[in-house]
Amino acid sequence: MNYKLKIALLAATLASAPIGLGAARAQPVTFDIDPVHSGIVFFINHLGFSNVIGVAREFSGEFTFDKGAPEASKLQAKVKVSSISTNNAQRDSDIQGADWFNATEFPEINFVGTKFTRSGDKQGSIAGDLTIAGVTKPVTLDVTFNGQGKNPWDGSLEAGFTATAKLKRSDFGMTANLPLIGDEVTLHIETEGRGRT
Amino acid sequence: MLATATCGIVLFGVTALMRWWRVDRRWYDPLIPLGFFLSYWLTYNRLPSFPPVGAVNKVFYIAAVGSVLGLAAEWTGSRTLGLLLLAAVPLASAAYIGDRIVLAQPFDLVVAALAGAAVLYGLYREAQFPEKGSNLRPAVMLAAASAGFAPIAFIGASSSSLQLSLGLAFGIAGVVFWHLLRPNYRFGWGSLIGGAGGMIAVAQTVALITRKIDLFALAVLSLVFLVPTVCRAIIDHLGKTNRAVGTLVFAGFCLVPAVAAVLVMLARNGFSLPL
Repeated sequence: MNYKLKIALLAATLASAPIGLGAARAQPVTFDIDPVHSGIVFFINHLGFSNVIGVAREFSGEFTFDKGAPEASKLQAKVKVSSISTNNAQRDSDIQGADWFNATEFPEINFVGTKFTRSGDKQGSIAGDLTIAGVTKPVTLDVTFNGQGKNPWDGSLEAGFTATAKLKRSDFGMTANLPLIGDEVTLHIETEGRGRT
Repeated sequence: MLATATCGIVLFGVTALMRWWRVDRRWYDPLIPLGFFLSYWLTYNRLPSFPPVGAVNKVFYIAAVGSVLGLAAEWTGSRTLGLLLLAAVPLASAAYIGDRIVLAQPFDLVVAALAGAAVLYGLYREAQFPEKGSNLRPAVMLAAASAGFAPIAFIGASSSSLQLSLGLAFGIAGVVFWHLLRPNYRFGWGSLIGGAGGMIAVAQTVALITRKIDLFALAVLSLVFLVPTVCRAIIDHLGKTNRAVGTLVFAGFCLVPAVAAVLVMLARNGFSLPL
């Protein structure tokens, strides 16, 4: 190998070194919400006697997350209104109407995270804009980071979170049957994200 | 039910005061729009922001614009403007409420607009038969239709429309009460375009957006607007002997299709309260 070729190889090696070091550091990864291992559940009071349970069956979204710098995360998610179920066909049909979610005019619920705050090793909050029935209001999710790692089945990178929030349906224009049916809605979200390769 | 009763009590009280003060009959025209807005406010516990988001909020502004224009037609005495509004408001409200489905279901919008215009025409036509200047009958028809629509809307998944419709019906009843014996009432363009137009927007919302309404029951209910045509001879005869009895019998006739529509709806859909 001649002298010039050796110099060129050395320069190339040095030039590539920072890239290698960067790869060794934690980098933000974009995750797609895995609907198979995620769930959205809500609870709403009925006459003070019970909390009716509702679920959203169809949702999607993505988040960008670096566990070393969670404040720089990004999140957006949407729920298909027609997929909301409360375990009663008539009621599920009724809540699609104009008094409630108004699925004809607003077929999706959207959430966009705007501020990510870390408050403990695995605790934090996500402030964001939640849009239901065409009305956008700020909502804060209390979030627990469950973990991140390789999926033993396929080797993909996974990250999981549990989130809860309370909101008032009247803030989104849903005032039907107040106060017989509670104004406060409790959300419980379990999310598993699958990292993009 | 408290909100519904409140509408009736408020309009009953306002009309009593107006009769006490012997105000000119055209001042009664804004009462039905007032009843509609009071019922709306009591139902939704708010005035909608502008621009309105969603059909139920659009209803408020349709009624508001209809009331302003209708009262303008009334006070300027412009029959041309009134007739123009009679044709345009149901069309505009159907298009505005159903703007998200205009491409997907244009036929539905056309039917909703034509049905609304037909209802307004039915009320307008009856308003042209005043007895000594008073025309209570369209108000009675609107009250009966609103009362009949309420349970149909309720089973059609709109409990808010139930409350709003009943509120208006009770409000109109409060007004009519004070005009039973010595009527001095005016059902003008404001009542027609603002009040009845607002109720049509409510019905269009339930039919086009919530989409669970029993259209057959609604068709039966629409017979309320044919009552004067079918029963005019009887009503006129009773009106000559005793005006209060004439009005009450007319109200009874109007309630027949209203009750029939509710029975049809119950027979076809049953009754359950999953919420």
